[in-house]
Amino acid sequence: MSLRRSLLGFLLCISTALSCAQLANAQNGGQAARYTTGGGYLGTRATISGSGATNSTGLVFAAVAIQDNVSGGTKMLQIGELQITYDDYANDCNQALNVVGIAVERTTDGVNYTCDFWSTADTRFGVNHRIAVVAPGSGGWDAYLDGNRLEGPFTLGMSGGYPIARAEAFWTTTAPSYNVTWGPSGYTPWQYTTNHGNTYTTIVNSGAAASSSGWNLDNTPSPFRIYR
Amino acid sequence: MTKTIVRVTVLVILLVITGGLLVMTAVAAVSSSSGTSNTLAGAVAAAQNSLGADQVTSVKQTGATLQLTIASEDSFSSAVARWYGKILGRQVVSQIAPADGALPISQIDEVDASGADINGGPESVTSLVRTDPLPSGECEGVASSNAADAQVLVKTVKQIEVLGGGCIFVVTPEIDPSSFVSNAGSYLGALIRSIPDRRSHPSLIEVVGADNTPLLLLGWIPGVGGAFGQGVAWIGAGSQSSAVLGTTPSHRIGN
Repeated sequence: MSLRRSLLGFLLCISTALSCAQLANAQNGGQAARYTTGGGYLGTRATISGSGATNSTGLVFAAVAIQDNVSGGTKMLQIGELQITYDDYANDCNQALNVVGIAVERTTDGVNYTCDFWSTADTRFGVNHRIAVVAPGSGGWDAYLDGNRLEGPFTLGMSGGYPIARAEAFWTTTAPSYNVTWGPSGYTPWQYTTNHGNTYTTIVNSGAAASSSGWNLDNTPSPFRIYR
Repeated sequence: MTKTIVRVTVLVILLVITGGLLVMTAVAAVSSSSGTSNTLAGAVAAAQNSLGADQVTSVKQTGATLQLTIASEDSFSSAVARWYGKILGRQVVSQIAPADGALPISQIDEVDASGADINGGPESVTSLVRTDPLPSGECEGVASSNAADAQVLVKTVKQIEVLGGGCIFVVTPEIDPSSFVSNAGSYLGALIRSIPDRRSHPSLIEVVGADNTPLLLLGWIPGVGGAFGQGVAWIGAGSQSSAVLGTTPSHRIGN
């Protein structure tokens, strides 16, 4: 009996130690993006396709955004596909649940963030949804999914901004196999608008940024991938 | 010809009046069958009382929009107040909604004391998913079970009864605060992971330093914004966190 208790205690210690060790591991991840070299645009859009989160314990996110600056900006509206593959992972767009959905996140000050989370008919990640952020002529900013206005208009305090194609991934134990294409062949390329969405122009010249190692970014124009 | 036009006009007017009376009758019937909180004032008072909070200083309905004035002392307390405001607003809408599910108030908007919008504009009211109410003491149990894995010291726990019940935690990191904030997605996820059906229940986590310095806020509001609900976050200017999309770890790209 005493031996059984000792063995049970030993196993519990090992189990607890492993659990704590996993949590104590430094979290990995970050973001990578392509952005226009100038601002003042009135919208951006792209179809996104690809895969992510295979065997991962965290999240992957693929989005287009408009923000007031590419360096230290404080105003932003973005829409993207979010997949969380780990029930113990919480963020402003989801409540620590294993799920795929559309996240619409905004901030007007770089301090307060609001994120609305939507389901889609197809719950797979990266299945050619067209996403867009557009300033309608009537004011504010809208988020579009597959040609339909999903949310808005939001008053963000910016009349124009920088189009961004953003990738994010975070994980705690096993890295995801992130491989997403903005503007796959036959679909809508990554584009900007200067006339409130009446017409769009494919973005050819762009800057690239990655906040952590491991990210790879193809050159614009579409189709281009961000992958790791 | 003129008589015919007059007759048709009178008939149309009568039809409009009759239709309006029918709608008014329906609204009155719904109101009288939905309990003591069926007026806006009654619903607000009941929600305020249940939340035990005074962050919302006034509530009024303008058309289909419920406008809430939010108290604001500083940036962090304002973020807390905004979460309370949305919870209160959504609870009020649920209390005065017609029984058939059609919502007379379709938007919630928050303004500051000067009347300026603080939310980027009105937000849609979305459906609430029916869920079992949180049992009494649930939030205390969640906190005590998960604090160690979440690497936090739980300073206070409050359980609210509105919107099916929700948890409010104030916690202090037991590891380096900047490291905690940077990696908060996994730590805060560990804290709330055992809240049952947690996307259907409100939650608020205030992360403060040992000296009560605000570090991070993460909140959830069901029935507002997206079909799944809405999350809110507060993070210190220039800080980065895996719990807030778009901020981490190189805030807003390019440094």
